[in-house]
Amino acid sequence: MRSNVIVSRLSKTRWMLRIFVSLVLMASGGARAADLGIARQFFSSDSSATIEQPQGTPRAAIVRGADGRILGHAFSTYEVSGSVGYAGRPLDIVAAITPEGIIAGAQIVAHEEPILVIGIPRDALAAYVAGFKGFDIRASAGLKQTNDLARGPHAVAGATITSTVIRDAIVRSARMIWRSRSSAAKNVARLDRETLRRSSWPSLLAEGAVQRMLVSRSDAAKLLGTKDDEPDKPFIDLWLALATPPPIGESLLGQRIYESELAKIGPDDDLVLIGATGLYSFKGAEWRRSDSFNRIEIIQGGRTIRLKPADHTPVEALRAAGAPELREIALFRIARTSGFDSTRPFRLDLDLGTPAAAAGPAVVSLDYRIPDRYLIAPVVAPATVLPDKAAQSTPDQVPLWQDIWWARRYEIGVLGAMLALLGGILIFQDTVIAHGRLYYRLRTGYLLLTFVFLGLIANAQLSVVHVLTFIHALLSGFRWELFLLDPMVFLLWSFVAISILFWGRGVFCGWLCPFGTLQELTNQLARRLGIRQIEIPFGLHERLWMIKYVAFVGILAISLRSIITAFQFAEVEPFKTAITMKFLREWPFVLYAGILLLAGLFIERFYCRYLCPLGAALAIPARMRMFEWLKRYRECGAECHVCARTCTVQAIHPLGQINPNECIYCLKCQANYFDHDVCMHLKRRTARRQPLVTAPVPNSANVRSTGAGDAT
Amino acid sequence: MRPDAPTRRRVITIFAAAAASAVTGPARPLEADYAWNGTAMGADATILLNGIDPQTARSRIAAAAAEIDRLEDALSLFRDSSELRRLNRDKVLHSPSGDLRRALALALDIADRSGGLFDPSVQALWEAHVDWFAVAPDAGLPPEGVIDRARAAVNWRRILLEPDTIRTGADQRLTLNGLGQGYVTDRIADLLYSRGLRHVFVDLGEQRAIGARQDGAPWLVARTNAAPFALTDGALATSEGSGCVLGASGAAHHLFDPRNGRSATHWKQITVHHRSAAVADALSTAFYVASSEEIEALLPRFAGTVIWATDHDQCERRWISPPVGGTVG
Repeated sequence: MRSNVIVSRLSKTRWMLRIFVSLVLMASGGARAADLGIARQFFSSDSSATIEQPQGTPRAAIVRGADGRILGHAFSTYEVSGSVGYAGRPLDIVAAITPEGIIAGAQIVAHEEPILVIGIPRDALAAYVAGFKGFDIRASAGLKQTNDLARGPHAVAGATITSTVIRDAIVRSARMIWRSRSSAAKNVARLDRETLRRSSWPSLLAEGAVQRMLVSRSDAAKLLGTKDDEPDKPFIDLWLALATPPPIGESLLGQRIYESELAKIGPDDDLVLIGATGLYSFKGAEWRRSDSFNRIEIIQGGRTIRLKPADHTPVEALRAAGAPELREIALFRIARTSGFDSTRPFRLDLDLGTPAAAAGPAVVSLDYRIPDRYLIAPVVAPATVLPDKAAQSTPDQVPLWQDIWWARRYEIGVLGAMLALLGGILIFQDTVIAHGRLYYRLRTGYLLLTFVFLGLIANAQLSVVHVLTFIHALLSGFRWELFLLDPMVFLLWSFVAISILFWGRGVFCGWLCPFGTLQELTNQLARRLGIRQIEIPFGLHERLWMIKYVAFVGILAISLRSIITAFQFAEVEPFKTAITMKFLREWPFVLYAGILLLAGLFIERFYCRYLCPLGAALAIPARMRMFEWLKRYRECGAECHVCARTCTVQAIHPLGQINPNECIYCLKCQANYFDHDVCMHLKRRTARRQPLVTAPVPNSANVRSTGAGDAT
Repeated sequence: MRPDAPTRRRVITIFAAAAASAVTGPARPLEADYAWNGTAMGADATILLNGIDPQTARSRIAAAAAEIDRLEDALSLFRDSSELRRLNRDKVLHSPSGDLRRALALALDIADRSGGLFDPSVQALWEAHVDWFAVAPDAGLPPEGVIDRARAAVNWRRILLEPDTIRTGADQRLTLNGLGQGYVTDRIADLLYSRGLRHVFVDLGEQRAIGARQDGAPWLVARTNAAPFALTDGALATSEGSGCVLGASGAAHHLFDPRNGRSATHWKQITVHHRSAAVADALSTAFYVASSEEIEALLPRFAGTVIWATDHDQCERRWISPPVGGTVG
């Protein structure tokens, strides 16, 4: 290769000379260790310094002191950065850099510069290069505060070429070595590729997961040196997102495309989504005939990443709720081997085309940085990382979660109203229930609202995954910010936590679980259509309850070993299939959820009764509940089993007690309690025309014993 | 006691205010001027940031330095693995970066408009001269034979810019040194502007101003024996033969006339102002090898250009082309 660089156009003897020089260069390249040996003298303070074999990328040799401490890294500038002189020939300087970023010494070993080109007399060259000892190569070192700006001049016209290439060779190579050697030990954040969540377009925008760039036709005309008669219209209105994290990619692309794209990339590779409307196409037409897209490039730090047609998938439409219709959408797969690091900021360069007049580059750039919520902080000492991040954000910057809450304010409002209504129903349950038929209508309406709004629209289905996340957050340092990021889930959890303390787990299961309500609604429909319900003998029923507790404890145990595996086992919940993905999923998942719903037609809330690990997880803390507001008569269970038979989940023991671990708080039995047409006790009393005497008996005493088993 | 009370309260208020200002004063980000010195495209580079807080200055300079580094990977002749050097070596480059393609497209456009006075393939002439003077620094100019052989490789029309590939003639070598610094200057200036900076002076061999200074005063670019240029917007590029001389007696310099293969002699110095530093850079190179009649003839083809030319007798001439948007030839 090097003899290739050296092309002589002069006499034959000079050809021979060149070949000789290039051979020497190649030979010295082969015996690089000996070459770098001269770097030992840079560390004259430690006479017993040793130099190791060069290794790593870029290649450098460690120089160690007598005590084994790393004094620095020695390298060749030609080897590290391919330094070339003004004459176009290799320029090789051996230098060493200390771990602190100071050049320990430098010595020129090969160059072919006609000295006058460099601008330094021959004898001064060695001294000039040696003078770099002590030079601080850190990026900020070149930046100094100055008080001279007011005076000027700020530049001199017609500056002369100086020995800049030599400085450049030393400093650039030293910087490459220093960065590669010092960053290896650093803890870097990882991209969160696991957390599953559906996000709407406005919330993706609010959190910065989608970035936008609008170039008006007048902006473009200015850059291209043309005129435009419709200057206010968009030349291009472009959106950019890193689609690798599921909440972004899956929300934008839909689950099918997202998962099929994910299958095409490696575990460290990334997906980048670009979409646009307007006059100008970011893809252009030439890409069909070439190996790369000419108009777009990803730029990260000093790296240019070309986008290739082979690595792209055209996308028809964005799936996230509220996303605009775009003329052109493309998904690009970017390999980690290209050097792309999705945890760090990058930008998209868009070439607006060839200017009409002689003009400078017509390029616009869109900066992108993945929001922090999609990053997993380094495992070691997360406590020290967080304050740093907090310190970085400027004080007047609104925290991310507040942005999200604002973006979802309408959904939050509806949920708030729903929760307030439910709270009202529960607190005034006796009054509400007394209205019999009205109550049933209210409940059916509420269930519909839960299914349609919480389930289908807001995707606010609580899941055992949330329980696991919460438990793990408690174990590894709880942070409010983490939970505040999803306002719907946060509000639901807050309400559920309180309601569990007050009334037990039933409030969530019976009222706020979209899948639960879906089962109940489909079952009601099935009854209307005359489908006969299967009654399970209570003894078997009671023992089948155990399954869900086993499922929960199993998932919890697995999560302590691997949270990812636990999330996979959490697929025992059909929530993701039925609610979040609306059955648009691979057939085994759809089949499973379908079977559960089918079973629910014959056995009301079949899944809730026996399988739901979330119900089990909520039932355990529900044993701490404070109120026993479900009323029973002393006679209940003795001669009348109406409530036990009509109970949605068969939570009433044949002997009459309500088992609050199973109860979903639908209040059916309470409606019966006040219903003179249904309740045997009331009917009999009416028949006897006796005044109402029996005081309501809280059933707590009964419950305790039932919970323990079947003793009574 | 009573009449005293307001006075005392007042004193306390004043003290509190003083204390508060002492506390809050330093907490505000201190805006100051910053200068960054580094290298770009094998030349010294300076970026002046006027009225900026240190944290912003650091982050913007880090971004600019990374961008310079990236652009050098495409355009620099002083980096063995750069795209330009790979093109010179292999005579073909597939999937070039947008920046190399744009810079080369602009170079060919200006070569076309200037009737070949600007030519990115003059690298052969430079190498022939450097080789000649390396062997014989005192021998005077290289003989016709050497120049003719090198000149055979100089022809911008043989550079092919295909959608996804760049090809050159088998004997050709390209340089973007007549335009690359300006191109990088443009890109850095655009980058800093898009990151919100409004009072910046970028000097990577060619100078470009992003706005005036905060106080409204222009940036000053000094000249020998003349009043400095005042720059509030756009770019200045200067070509001067004495900037890089070859041979012990300075018999030749780096600005070659593609037509005869020799260092041009019409002018001592040419300075061009244009909105884009890349265009200014290329035009200063092109006009340096042009006579005053040629400059006048070419001028209408380059809208929005101001040219200052100083000849060897220190006489200065100035031309102004019609502004952008006017009739372009």
